[in-house]
Amino acid sequence: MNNYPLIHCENIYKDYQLGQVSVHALQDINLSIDKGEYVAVLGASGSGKSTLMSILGCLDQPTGGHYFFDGVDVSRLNTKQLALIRNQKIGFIFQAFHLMPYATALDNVALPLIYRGMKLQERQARARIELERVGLADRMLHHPSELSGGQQQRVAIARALVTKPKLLLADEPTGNLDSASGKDIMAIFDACLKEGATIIVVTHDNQLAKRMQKTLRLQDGKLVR
Amino acid sequence: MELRYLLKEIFVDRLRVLLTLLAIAWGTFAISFMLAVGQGFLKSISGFMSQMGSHSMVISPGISSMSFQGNLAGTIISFTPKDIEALKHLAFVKNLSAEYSMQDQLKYSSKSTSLHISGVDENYLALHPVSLKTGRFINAHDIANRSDVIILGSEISKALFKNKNPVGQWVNLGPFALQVVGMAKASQNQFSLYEMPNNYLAWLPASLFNILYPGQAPKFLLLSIKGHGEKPAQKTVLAVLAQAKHLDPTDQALVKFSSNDAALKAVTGFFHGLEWFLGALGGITLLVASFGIANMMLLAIRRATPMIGLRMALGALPYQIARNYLIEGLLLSLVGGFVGFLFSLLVIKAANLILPNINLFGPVHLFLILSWPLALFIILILAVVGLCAGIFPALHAARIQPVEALRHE
Repeated sequence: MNNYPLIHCENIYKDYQLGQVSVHALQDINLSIDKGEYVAVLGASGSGKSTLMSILGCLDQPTGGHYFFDGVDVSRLNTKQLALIRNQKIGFIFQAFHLMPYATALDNVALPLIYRGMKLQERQARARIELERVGLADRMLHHPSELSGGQQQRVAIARALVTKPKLLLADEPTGNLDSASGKDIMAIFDACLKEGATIIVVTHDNQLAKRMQKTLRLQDGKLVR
Repeated sequence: MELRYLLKEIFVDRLRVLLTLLAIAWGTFAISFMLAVGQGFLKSISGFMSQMGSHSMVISPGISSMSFQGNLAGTIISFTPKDIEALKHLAFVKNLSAEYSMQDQLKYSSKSTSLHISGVDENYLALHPVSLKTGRFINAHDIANRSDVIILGSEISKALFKNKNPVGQWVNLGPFALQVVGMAKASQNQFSLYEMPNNYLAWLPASLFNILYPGQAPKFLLLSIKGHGEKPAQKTVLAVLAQAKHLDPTDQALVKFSSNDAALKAVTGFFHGLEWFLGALGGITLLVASFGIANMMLLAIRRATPMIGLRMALGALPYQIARNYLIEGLLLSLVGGFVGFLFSLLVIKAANLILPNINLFGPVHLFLILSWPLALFIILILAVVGLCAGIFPALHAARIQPVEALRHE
């Protein structure tokens, strides 16, 4: 096994230009996350959680510093290379689920595999496996509107897992769910951890964060201990 | 699979989609129908004109505008039998006929009617349309022998003979008795060169006319040419006539040429113009409709922005996103266009069933043509419209950042 961390940030800055004003969304972020770690990113809204997540997920690039993901300096990559990393190494779970309303659960889960140029049959075979894993074997051909919130989030998790990512990045995954559904989601995460996944959960829920091995606390764009 | 979902995204706004498709269909219908009208009418008219004998010209006398060899400007030209003989010997002259004209009274027993008498040669029918109902027209024998024959227009025949067949009867023109040998069909579209309806005319051999009305000069000369350009032929004719009358052969005012070819060109030009005008109207409709498609797609993209961000987050590349919207624009315009095109085919079929039964333009048989090159041209236009409609939304979609996926709705 390689001995470098999966995630390594060195003096990350992210500034936004709002008219004449420069907003410092992230300032001097230094952190390392090893493979297999279960990490919570905590902070009030506006603290920079989402910005950090977009950089860790290679959705956006820092304006300063270096971000190494799986040993690669992501800050130097172009759009196409970033898309490739997102597709092959990162699984996203969003608070609003972001499922395609017109597609079945099966097609939603298979979506990321399209961008790998995979054939339809193989895409569906893989999607089926993931849906069974999250306990939705009997809901594969249902549309999102026919599923409960908890079921929708499980579809979204299956979609994140279908590419066998090295990192699972979850943005308030239980924010829109009742506590029972939230527990189901956490149970799935626990199972993924046992299989060696690295999971980062962005949340403002302290109770949730307590389950995790490591907690990163953000305040005004800075990490606080 | 992706495209299917994009279409569903856009079909959320069903009414808007329907109206836009309708606009595209209407634009396509307008273009293809108008072009079919243009092409069909052009073909109908030019077919009719060529049947009339193109490369034939009418020469009418004028007045000299330049002094020449002692003859002053203002000399009135009149054609003589000698001129006709001289012209007949030109190598490029295929058919030649004079047309004389005189107003007179024609009598049959107790009935009489006034009419215009045309004196013409045996080649007249090859140069100018007269449709016969019964009997024959003037022939070479009549010209050579100055036969006492006459051909009646339909109204003249009616005035003298009611509905009886006049052929074989003898009629009186002043002191002369003439035998009716033919009768023209009733027609609203056939006229003499001096614009008298054929229905109110009678035709005599030119040689007989010269005896009946001595001293009359032909009102017109008609001739058709072979193996020779129209312009050089006119120049030679002018030179021959000028020489005979000792006038300047470069004086364009001596005679006036009006040619069938020129008329054909004018009509053709008119219909080409019409075709372009109507095509342009359809084109503008399509252009507006393409704005409709673009606008509709931009709205759909705005609604779907988090979804597009999501696709990008999941690994889609900007060009993949753009390509889908481009195909979508193309698809919408082709679907709308297909409907419009089918509709125009139906209307053209129906028009071609009805048009022959409407005697709108007399002997010109009108029909519409939608040819394959035209159909291909329309498909090409639709493709361009579709691409134009799709390209702006596609570029817009491609610029969406994957971070958009993180924005909560």
